[in-house]
Amino acid sequence: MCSGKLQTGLLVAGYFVYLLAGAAVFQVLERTAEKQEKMAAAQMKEAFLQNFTHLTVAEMEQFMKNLTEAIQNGVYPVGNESQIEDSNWDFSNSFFFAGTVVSTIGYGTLRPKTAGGQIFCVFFALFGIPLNIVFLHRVGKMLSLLCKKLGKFLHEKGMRKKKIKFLTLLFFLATGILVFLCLPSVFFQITEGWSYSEGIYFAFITLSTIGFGDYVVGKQPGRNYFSYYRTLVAIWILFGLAWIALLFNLLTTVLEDTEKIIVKDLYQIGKPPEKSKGFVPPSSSFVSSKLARSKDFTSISTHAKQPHTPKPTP
Amino acid sequence: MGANMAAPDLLDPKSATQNSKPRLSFSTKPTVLSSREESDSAINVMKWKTVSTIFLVVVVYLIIGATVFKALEQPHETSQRATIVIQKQTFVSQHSCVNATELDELIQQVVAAINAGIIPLGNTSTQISHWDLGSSFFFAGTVITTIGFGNISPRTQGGKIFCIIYALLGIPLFGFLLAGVGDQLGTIFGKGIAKVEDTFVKWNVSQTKIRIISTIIFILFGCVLFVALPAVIFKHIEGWSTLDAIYFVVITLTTIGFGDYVAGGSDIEYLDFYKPVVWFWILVGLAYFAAVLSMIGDWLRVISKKTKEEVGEFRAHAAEWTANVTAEFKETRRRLSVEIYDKFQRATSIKRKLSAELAVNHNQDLTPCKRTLSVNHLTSEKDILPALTKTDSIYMNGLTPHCAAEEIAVIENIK
Repeated sequence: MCSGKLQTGLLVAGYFVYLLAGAAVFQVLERTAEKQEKMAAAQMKEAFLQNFTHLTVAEMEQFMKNLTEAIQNGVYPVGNESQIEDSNWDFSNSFFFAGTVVSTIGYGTLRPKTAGGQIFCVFFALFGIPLNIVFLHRVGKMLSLLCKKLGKFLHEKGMRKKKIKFLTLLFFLATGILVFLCLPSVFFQITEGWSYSEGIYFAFITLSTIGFGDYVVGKQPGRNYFSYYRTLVAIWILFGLAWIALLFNLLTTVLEDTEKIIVKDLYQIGKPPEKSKGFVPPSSSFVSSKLARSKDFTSISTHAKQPHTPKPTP
Repeated sequence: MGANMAAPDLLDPKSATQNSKPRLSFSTKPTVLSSREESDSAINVMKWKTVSTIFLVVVVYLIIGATVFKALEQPHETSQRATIVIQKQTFVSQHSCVNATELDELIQQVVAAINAGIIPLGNTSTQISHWDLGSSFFFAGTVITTIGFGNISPRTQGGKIFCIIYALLGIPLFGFLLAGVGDQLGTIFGKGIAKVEDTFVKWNVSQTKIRIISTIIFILFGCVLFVALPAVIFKHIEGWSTLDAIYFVVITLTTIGFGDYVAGGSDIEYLDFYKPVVWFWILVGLAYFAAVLSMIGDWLRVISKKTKEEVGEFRAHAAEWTANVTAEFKETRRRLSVEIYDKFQRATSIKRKLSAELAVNHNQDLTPCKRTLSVNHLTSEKDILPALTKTDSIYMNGLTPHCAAEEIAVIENIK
């Protein structure tokens, strides 16, 4: 039980340290840029007021408020009324929105504003997300089957097991990065006019389902997209999600392994005389305690899915 | 070393995709559809079939969603568009000095500013920065939980690159923590529900009922603790409506995170411990929602399995029905033939009595043997039909050639 508490404590500590470090770095990187943007916005307003002396500050503020609300509601008020015709909620856009809900990307460029839409969105997500998870699970299986086949092929060629593992891993990473990150970025460079690094950033933010919504596919006014553009992107997202889920799964197991090693080391430091007792490895009690804990609830159990089977200690 | 150790997990399909999300299983276990003994190609075909089926279901679900969202949201959007156009027109008409093209230029700049996360209202330079330590912490949190509200996002090249690397390490780390929290949460819930179950067991309630009741208790209790209570708090502190608050809670905890409502995102003066408490809520609530979502996923799996089974059962029923009909048919045939056989037997026995002196000893023991043989043999229809049509050879019905030969011998003996 002691090791369990130690583990949780370590986790929480690591988590907060990670968050704080990230916060500090982002702060340093982004603050100056933000200040410049703010200055620019203020200057823009001032210049506008200076050019047109008839305007009062209050009127300007009111107008700006209206404008901001409209923009936040997804209306792009440039040009004339012809804009009214192309809706944010036509079918293809609605489909795309439903996709962002179900995959939990949630760009936020489109969002339901009516009460009915919001209620429906809640229930739609509640059943759609598990459905999507089941689907991704299947696709992930297919992808891992491919890796398995490669492993078999290499095995037939008479390679050593470690080498095979390394090679399959490398193959998985390389093809995944190429197919799901690099090629789409080139593609977006052409279709959206982003820079290559912006394309990579967008691809990653999308596939990791963070989905800030600062870059969204097919959203730039005044750009012509070919007809099946969104569909193609949706297919890329579906398979990319499965791939990246596998990747995160892999990284999780790596973290778990390192954490186990750390906990083991701490345990050994804490109880040095135990070592002399004999061959009983110190981590075995840790493992068994964990097993016992998970065995406690056979009928009803909320246990974390632990994909990694505990490795017997040397 | 770690990577090498992790490699088998990559290849293990079971651990794929649902990475480290805590799982709640009430009686339903995730189903393993295929056994490893089957050949690879058969598995492949099956997997492609299931994948395409689920894909179709997902697409249909998305289409339904798209239609409903369109119906609900489009009228609202159109009215919004109309109002902003009218507002622009009145602004231009009221201020004759303002040129329409210059106004458009200004609006474009405003759009860019808002997309950059700056709201150009009031004195912009005095607004709270998005990138002070507290907000940066909040942002880092939205990255690694994959909520990604998007009200704050990196604008600089360095920030973007760091964000990618940060997320790549942070998301698994958070998944790991979430698993731990889910574990602890499960312990607490499990203990509570075990107690409730014990009391139910005393009342002699059936096992399935107990399961259903405990599931409902879990969902209700979780809803109150992680949805209703926070919603009430947000309603008071942020000044949202009840629906907005619940909507925010669900969108956040499912990690969709549109960013239209963000706790602590407006310019209200918040209490010092407000944001940390919100963070703790998100951490625990995510574990709860992950459990609920995986539970719903399990239900979906069970449903798909059941439909499959039902289709299979229907087929089985049909097969059983035909089997029954044929069996009955055969049964009547057999009974008929047995009766005829019995009559024949009686006749032979009478004949036997008449010619007792000539009778061979062993034919007395033969009778039960022949009976069973005939019963067994009659199940194949081919033998019956010609036998019944040929009345003169009826006694051969269902007998093995050996027995029949004996029988013939007996009859010949009688003669």
